[in-house]
Amino acid sequence: MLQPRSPSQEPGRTGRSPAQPTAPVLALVAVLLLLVAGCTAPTPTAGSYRDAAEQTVTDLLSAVGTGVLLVEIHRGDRAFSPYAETTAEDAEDAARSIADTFGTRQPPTAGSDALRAELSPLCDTAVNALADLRIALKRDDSAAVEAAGRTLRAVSSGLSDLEESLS
Amino acid sequence: MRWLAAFTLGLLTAIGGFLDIGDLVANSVVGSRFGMTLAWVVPVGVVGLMVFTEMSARVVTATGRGTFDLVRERLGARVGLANLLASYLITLLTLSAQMGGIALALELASGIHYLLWVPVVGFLVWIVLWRLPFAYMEKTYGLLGLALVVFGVALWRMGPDLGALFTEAVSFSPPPNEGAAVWWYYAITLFGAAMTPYTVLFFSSGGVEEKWTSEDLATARLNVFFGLPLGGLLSLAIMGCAAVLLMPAGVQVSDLGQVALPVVSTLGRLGLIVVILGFFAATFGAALESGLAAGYGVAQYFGWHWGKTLPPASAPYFHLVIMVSLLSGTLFVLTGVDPITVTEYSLVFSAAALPLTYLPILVVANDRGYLGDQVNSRFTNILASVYLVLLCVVSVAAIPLMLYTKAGQ
Repeated sequence: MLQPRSPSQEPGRTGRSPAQPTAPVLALVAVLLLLVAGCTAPTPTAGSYRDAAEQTVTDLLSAVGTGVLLVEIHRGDRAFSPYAETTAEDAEDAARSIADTFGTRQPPTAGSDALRAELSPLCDTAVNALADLRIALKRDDSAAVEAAGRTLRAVSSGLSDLEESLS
Repeated sequence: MRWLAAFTLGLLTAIGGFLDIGDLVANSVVGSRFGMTLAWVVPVGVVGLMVFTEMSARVVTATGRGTFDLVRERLGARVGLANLLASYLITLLTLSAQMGGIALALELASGIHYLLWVPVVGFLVWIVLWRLPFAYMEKTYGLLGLALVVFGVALWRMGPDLGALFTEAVSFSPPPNEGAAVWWYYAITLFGAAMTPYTVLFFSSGGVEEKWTSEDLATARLNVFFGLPLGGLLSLAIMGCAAVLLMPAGVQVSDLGQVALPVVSTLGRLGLIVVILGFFAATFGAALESGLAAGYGVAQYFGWHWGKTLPPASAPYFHLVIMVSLLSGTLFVLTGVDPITVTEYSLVFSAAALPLTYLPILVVANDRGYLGDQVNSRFTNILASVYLVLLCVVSVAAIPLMLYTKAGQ
């Protein structure tokens, strides 16, 4: 049975060079490289930035939609304050987290700046309107609740337009 | 009265076990995002749960012994340990999620932050498990859990186009704006919610606690074949509510308050009271079940005395495991981790570990040495085998899909 030749038996070789990496070492390096690559954030591209913006719009629409429903519930006097306030607070927290996450993203190209310039104000307005809604609900101030509702509907419309242009 | 008590056990399992924080969240999330396109997963999960729960009931009535007790004896210590570890860790995660759910329900009712409720919840669950008699516990939470029928009432009051909902339900494809990977990820989550391992463990051990004999098998089967589909129908009602009201509004559920929105919008303050009561009862009942299931599993594996009916002095290790599990769950939720996120992850990990729980039950249920002529019929074996293949596929796909979709984003 033929045995595979070791490197030292190959013609022209007198032995393995100490500087030459062995297969296990190469495998280990490859695994380490993969691990390091896995720990490193991927370089943002215009496409990934756009995907992130699309996800931000979807998530923000959800928080804003919750606020709009809460305004309608308050108008019909259909819920007790603890429920409405807690749900509004959760929606506000969610919107703030979504806005912060998008805000910390680096726009990779000049083209992405335009998208950022369009979405960031909508994020800020949504967060502020949800905060206004929470405050108004706590004070049971119907006029302020309706005002917050108007802002939320306007933001929702803006976000929906942006969502359409992104998809 | 004995028949009524046994029937209530099935009802509690259906509401508290089938409908827990996992089902509330999963069905609402799915309905708000995918409409009724994943409705088919619910009957698939219910039938699977019925097959294996009926099997467990037969094992209990024929042998009078708990599932883990037999699994270890029949399959050996190693396989039993793998089964125990998988079930216990999933049950512990589920218990934490239920405790978080109770705290969230109390926050919705009181406005007090849920983290302040968590220690109170831990204490309440422990005191109920310690002091409240088994029969009284199951009746209380079984009946209170029926409050979740309010989702069915809300759906009816919304007057949806049932034909359109049905067409969506049988489309078997994701909505145009959603990818297939995310859709399948949520199908697995929903399947995991329907087939939570602790349900079967609690059902069979509860049967031992109630000293079922072969005469109780008919009642047990009635519980399984009536109670579990009832839970499934309520799941579909929750999904339908979210599909009809939340999806068109662009709301994708991420907290318990949003789950209640369709009921509150439709039925007002009375609906709110009933739905929060339902949330509390379902999550509290499930916390009791999963807390007990944790104790049952460990005690049965190690051969310790076990049983809620036994005082702590007679079953010290069983009660100790329950206490440690409750304490662990309390501390875990107190870290501030989002209970809804814990719920979603518990469902995925549960789905990944499903074969480890259900395969041993199938093996034991086919052993004539234990069950005599009560062993599985050919039909049951064919059905169970089909489900085992499905469970294995789900198990293999769950974690990769979670990573690929970034947990359903």
